[in-house]
Amino acid sequence: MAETLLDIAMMHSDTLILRAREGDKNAQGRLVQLWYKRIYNFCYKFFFDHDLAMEASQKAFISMHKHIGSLQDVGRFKSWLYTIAVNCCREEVRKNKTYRSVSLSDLEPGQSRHFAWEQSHHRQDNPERQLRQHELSELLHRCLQELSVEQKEVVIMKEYEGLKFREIAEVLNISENTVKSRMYYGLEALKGILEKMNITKESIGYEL
Amino acid sequence: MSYKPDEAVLMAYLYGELGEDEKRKVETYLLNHPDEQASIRQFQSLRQVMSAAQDQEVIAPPVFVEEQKSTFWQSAYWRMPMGIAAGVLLVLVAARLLQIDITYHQQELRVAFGTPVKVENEKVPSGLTADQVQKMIAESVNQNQEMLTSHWNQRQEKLTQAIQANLADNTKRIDALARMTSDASQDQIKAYVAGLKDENQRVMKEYLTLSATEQKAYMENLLVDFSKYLTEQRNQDLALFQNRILAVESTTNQFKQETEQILTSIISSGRNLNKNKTNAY
Repeated sequence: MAETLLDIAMMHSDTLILRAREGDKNAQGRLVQLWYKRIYNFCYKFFFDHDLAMEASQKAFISMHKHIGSLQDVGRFKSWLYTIAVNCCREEVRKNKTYRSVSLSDLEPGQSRHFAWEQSHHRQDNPERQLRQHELSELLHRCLQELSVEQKEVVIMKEYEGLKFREIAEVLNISENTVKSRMYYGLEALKGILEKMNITKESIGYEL
Repeated sequence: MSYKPDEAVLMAYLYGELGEDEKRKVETYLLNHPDEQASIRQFQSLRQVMSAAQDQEVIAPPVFVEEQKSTFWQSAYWRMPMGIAAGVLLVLVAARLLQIDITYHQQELRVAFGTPVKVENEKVPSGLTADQVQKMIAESVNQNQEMLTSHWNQRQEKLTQAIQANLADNTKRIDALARMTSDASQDQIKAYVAGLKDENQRVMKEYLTLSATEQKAYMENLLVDFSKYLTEQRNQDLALFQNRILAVESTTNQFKQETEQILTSIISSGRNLNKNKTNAY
């Protein structure tokens, strides 16, 4: 996995966390800047909805700000922060019982053409390729929504946030074996969903 | 082999979180169980597909909540009544300072500041008749209309002028543009033709050089072949000639032998004859 400067900064932020724990507002602000993208993306993959993700991630950081003084072990900041994020997401789900999620059954395999193209990273790519990648990304986000909440949490934290199984177990306060088992069944379920959608490594080979 | 890794171990293997020993065990197990290996491969390619779900770009909001030390007076419970009380106090003080006087008398509300002054109602003298008022209204309406008409005309004139000026300007620009384009295109065509000519010349030259060398090579080959042919022919002729000579030689030898035989037989028969003659004598 290619490490960006941001990742490196996130790995070596112990002093920053210590200062934040002692009430340094500046350090707390820097922590928000460092972790916002990760937490937002976790929430976004959880809801597949920008507004809900913004809401949950902002609440998570407000909660972080309030409770960072009680953080015991600086080394566990990452799992502590994800615990807060998971709790905020679950709270949002409770509040919006009928939160907007588009079921895959509304979407036939060939109909994924009308997704809007909103963003442009990877400037070296040509627009058509970029558009196709964006569509694929949206489709995969939708597939994630088909998983149960427990499986989805584990799959996102492992596959996209790169947490170790031990860290996920800490975040969810369950045993490491339960995490691995949820991951296994989550992947099995995803495999079935992708097969149903006719998405395989070969069929999208030219887009990767 | 009784070892069989469970789901948890397989997951740890898939994400590279196994110790060396355990990893080796799993690898050996997979080598012996191709179906399990295939399912791990499927998970691996599934992970590759899922990695196409990109991160969303987002900018962290520069918010930060200041910690509020809430005192007794700032508590939410007190804020509302205190606000109302402060408002009422302000109104009372203002009223005292301005010596406000509010009276309601014969459907007439009076608000006065300072010491009250008695004011008698003044009758407004009505010096104008209804006709005069009508006339004044009519005049003012007329004036207004005239002014409007003149304004309207001026505007229209200005507009027409502006449009004409604009049109002329645009025509000029388009002409200039067209001229520029035609000039440019002539130059371009010339340059293009020159380029084409050069290219053709180059190609022809290359072609001629190439064909000349090829022809030379061909001729050389031809000459070599021809000389080879001649040598071969000569050799064959020589062989033929030799054969003939040999044949002639052998024929001659045979002839010689035959002649010798004949001669010997003649000679011997001649001797016999002589002997017989002498015997007869």
